[in-house]
Amino acid sequence: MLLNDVQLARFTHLKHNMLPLTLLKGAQTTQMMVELKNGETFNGTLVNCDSWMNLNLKDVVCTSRDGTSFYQMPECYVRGNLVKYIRVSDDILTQVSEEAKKERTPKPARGGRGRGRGTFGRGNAGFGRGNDAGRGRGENANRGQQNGRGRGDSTRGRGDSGRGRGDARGRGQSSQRGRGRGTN
Amino acid sequence: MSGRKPRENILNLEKSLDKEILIKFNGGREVIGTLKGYDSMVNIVLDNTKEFIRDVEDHNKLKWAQDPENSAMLVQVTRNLGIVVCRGTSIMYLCPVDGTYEINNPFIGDEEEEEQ
Repeated sequence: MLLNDVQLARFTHLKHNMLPLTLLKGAQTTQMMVELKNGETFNGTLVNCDSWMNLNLKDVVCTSRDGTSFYQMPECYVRGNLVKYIRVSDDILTQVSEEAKKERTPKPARGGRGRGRGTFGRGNAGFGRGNDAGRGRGENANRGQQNGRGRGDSTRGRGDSGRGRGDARGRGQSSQRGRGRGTN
Repeated sequence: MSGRKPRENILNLEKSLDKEILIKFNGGREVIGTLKGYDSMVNIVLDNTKEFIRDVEDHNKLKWAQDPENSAMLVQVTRNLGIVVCRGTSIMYLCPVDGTYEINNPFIGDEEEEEQ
């Protein structure tokens, strides 16, 4: 009974939560009207949009803010942060929600992948820990390594290596960040 | 893979390289120039850039003046800026100059609806 109610609640929640960007993505290749913050409007066909709501329109009619001059443009790129609102046709809503329902079914597979990645990441952290601790501290570090590799006493192993792990993580992250900056 | 931003540009500026584009900036400035370069943040390098001078009283209107060759014609007043790096964050919209032209009101039928 309870389970059914929860499932029902989740289902209705998904049904009503039409995310703006999802709608926009679904509205690709349809006619829409975009008003910018400065009052200019663009009537055109959406070619593409991204998660910043940047829009790529084609066959656009641009209307000035006073509504007196009109420009025909073959295409136009509008920056998302300057959009005030977008008008889409009414039938988009039903069309997109139907598409979303279809896409919802294969979701469990994605969760599985996510877990896999998580363990992989931990494995990496383990390597880093071993190296750093080994160099840095004599006795404690050795213990840490043994426990870490053998995995005999799970509780002790974690407890002992707790400090070492903290150090190693700190180093590992800082070096990664450093690299990141370098490439950027 | 999906953790990193794919940063795929939704606009293909490759095809506009070495062609004239019009850029309108955040505060209302408008420039025309030849597209020489761009990046994933839509920062843009323009060559032979011309900025449209705006009306002193109404900054939303462009300034027009008599064409020196043909006094019956009005032309937009511009100033030359040469080569310019345009910051992507302050770009409002951009479009190719080729194929962009002023037209008469195409919404005359649904004017009242627009007004609401």
